[in-house]
Amino acid sequence: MTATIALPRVRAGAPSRRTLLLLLPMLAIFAIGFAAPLYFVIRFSLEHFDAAGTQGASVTLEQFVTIFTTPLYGDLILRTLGLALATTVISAVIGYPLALAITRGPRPLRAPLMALVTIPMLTSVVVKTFGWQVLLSSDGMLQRTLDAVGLSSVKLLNTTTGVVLGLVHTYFPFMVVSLVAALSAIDRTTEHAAASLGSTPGQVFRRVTFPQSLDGLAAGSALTFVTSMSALVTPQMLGGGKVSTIVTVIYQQATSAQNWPLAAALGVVLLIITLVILSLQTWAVRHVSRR
Amino acid sequence: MSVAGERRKLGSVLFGLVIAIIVVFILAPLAVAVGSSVTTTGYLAFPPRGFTLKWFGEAASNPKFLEALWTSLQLGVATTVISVVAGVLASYAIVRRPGPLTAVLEQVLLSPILLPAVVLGLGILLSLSLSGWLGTFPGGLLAHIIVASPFVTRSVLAGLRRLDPRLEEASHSLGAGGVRTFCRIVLPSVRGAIIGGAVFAFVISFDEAVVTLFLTGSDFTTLPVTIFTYVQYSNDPTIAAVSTVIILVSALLVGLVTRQGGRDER
Amino acid sequence: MTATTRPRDATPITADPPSDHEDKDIVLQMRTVSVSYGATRVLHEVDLSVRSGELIALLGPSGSGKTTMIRTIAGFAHPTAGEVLLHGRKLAGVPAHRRNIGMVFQNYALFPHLSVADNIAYPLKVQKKGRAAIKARVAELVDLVQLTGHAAKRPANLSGGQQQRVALARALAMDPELLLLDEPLSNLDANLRREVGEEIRRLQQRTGTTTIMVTHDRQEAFGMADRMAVLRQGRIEQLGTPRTVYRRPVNAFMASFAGEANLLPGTVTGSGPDTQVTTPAGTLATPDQANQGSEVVVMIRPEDVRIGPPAAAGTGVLPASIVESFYYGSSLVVQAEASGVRVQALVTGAATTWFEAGQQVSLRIDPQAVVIIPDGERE
Repeated sequence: MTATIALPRVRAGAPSRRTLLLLLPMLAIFAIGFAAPLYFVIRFSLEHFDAAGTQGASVTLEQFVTIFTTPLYGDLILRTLGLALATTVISAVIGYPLALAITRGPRPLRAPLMALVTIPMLTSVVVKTFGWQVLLSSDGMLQRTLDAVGLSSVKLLNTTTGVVLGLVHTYFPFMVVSLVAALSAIDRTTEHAAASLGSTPGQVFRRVTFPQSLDGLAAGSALTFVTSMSALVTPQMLGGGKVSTIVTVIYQQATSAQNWPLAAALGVVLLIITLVILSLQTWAVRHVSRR
Repeated sequence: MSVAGERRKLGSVLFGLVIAIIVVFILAPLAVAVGSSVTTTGYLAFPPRGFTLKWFGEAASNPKFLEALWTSLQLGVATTVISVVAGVLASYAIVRRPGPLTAVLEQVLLSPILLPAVVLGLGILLSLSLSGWLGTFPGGLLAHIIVASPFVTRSVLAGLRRLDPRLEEASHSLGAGGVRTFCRIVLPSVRGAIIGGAVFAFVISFDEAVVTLFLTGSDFTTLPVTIFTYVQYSNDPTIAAVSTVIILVSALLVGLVTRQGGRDER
Repeated sequence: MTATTRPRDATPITADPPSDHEDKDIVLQMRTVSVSYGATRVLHEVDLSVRSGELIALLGPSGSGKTTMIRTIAGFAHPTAGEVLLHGRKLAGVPAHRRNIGMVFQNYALFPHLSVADNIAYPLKVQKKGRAAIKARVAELVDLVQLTGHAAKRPANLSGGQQQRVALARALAMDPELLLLDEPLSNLDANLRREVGEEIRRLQQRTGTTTIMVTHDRQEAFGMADRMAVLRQGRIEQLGTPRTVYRRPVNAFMASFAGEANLLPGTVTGSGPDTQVTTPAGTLATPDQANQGSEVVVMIRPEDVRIGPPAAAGTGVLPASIVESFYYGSSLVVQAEASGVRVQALVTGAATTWFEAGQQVSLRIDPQAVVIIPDGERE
């Protein structure tokens, strides 16, 4: 096979500029449905709000001041981050073995396990959370089992525990998918080489497999963190009003309280945290890979 | 068996146990939703007491559910069609005109997957209120396209990148211009990626709850949103019946997607 | 317009037989064409004329620019200087799909979702030919490339050689003014290559299609081409018939590229009907003329070195000893040393004797076999 110079993809037949026109429909949709809404969120976050309603042409940072000085909102942010962190950690702990089973387990099990992970991703979060609601209810199976065992003080529904359970269930597939991608990409011969050099399976995992999967772990963690942090349905349905996150408050403020500026400001905070996490992950991957 | 062999066997048994527990965890709420749909009691109970299909009948005859289902279906189809058309065109431009501009655009078109849906929902609420389109089908459609189209774009981008550019050059050398080549050669070759992306988009739209919650009104609502509000004040197994239907439809569509994906690999 | 330089008064023994194509039309002309990708210049002021019915081979190692050259002709790359003309029409600004130049890609690029018949019919459908006409032409081409009975199959169900024939038929279907072949034999098994190469050549001559073929394999080029252009680093090193390229290379690079070569530096020590050249290995005579006393490089092909019993040194007779030999079935490659200089000989035929290492022999070289390389510095 002769090596060829990397040829640029010079388009033959179609004038190059014409091809870019193909982007117009999607760009138009995104301009109206994505760019404009984001603009409005940022614009409204800088508005003033009083009980009479807003819509002045003011530009003020008072919403952000409120958020960062009121301990209520500080707690809110911390609790949201805490929930996301717990979800991510638990997802990694249960997701990793599952990913290992899917990529290195007995062959007949691989496709069914992968399907098992993908099907909940395609089922509405409302349906899944509804199932949890029934399962966690005070006269449901789980609670009754706990009571029987003497752990009746541990409550499931309308508590943080229940919310975390629901969040993990909904968002850990993102972790699994990332890990499966990373584990599949590892060159298996490196593992065989380690084994031939005398490493036990445990050592092979610790020294060869796991380090090479870290990129996928970082990506999966960032994804799980960011999506569980932005969850609305799960904390709303399983929290019963007792578990508030930034997101549930945004929803309340936007719909019942009609305090759009505050909702928008909280939204901006959420957006910034999301972008920070995603940048951290990109930075971490690049730095770690440069070893 | 040697000690090492025994230990390894124990290790794999434990591992299998862990996986089994995780599997149960995954299936639990789905099983509960399906299971409690057949209970004879007038309230949600799991395990179900007795067996009856009457709640399915209740759901099927409830006009609110039926209307919501109809809206969800229409929304799903419209979202999918528009996402596919716009997405295929955009993906083709991105793949065939690599450069800094298209690289940025690719990230933008894929970003709704990562960014908080609640912020998008709020933003769309704000822009629709200001323009008077709140609570309408077109408003909801716009939101759904933003949420669902990244899945089409992602799938089609991958499919196009797997395509040998020399097929297009061969078509040109044989006298076919850009449009003809696109229709006769490119599209048939990425058919699998388009279909896979389309199914995903439909399911995402059908299941969509967060953004839609901000946009619904008394005469515009979708099935997931209806379930959400219904659950808040009622303990009635009808909801379980509706949920069961949704689960079955999702499972069916996943089956379709995986089989199509398998066929593409060959 | 060929780029070979003949030494003055070269005797006609190595001249080409009269060309079939010299009076035919020029189909393709490239005039000082340069192509750059960004800052890198890939083709430097290339000149080429291709006549109707010719098969020209573009031969060269990877990176020599040969693929760029046919992509430029086809319209998939654009010259940064110079012009390409097809039957006198400038091709600048003409998109690839309007050039009526057929191309067979290295990986065949058959449309996987269409059958063999539909692949071949594709250009005809583009030209909006009638259904009956298309059907007839497709059948004709399927028979021409000997794929009768396979017309309904998909490319995935064909062997490499069969796929290539479909690609060829498809390109021929549009009745191209020029046909471009990109490494047509490189994806085939080694033992099939010669057979398929001869088949392609026969087909090309039968249809009279003007063809440009890219290859890195000199055997292919020699066997199939009417003329060949050897490319090196974006320039045409030599353009001529295979015979000219092999027998009268223009420089040392070409001498070694066209085949195995013994290159010996020497000084001209005598003139007359035959020039005498004294080299470290011994004295040789050649019909090529050169000035007395000038430094030259002579080339002798191994197959022209005859091994005989030991003898005294003379013009064209070099005492030598055998170093080693390699048996290749149809030939025996022998490395010998004449006065400290390595000389390679190629011996063929049933009457081949075995040579022992260290055996004393004499190497006999006829004057016709000695060629003075015009641009003799070693590259």
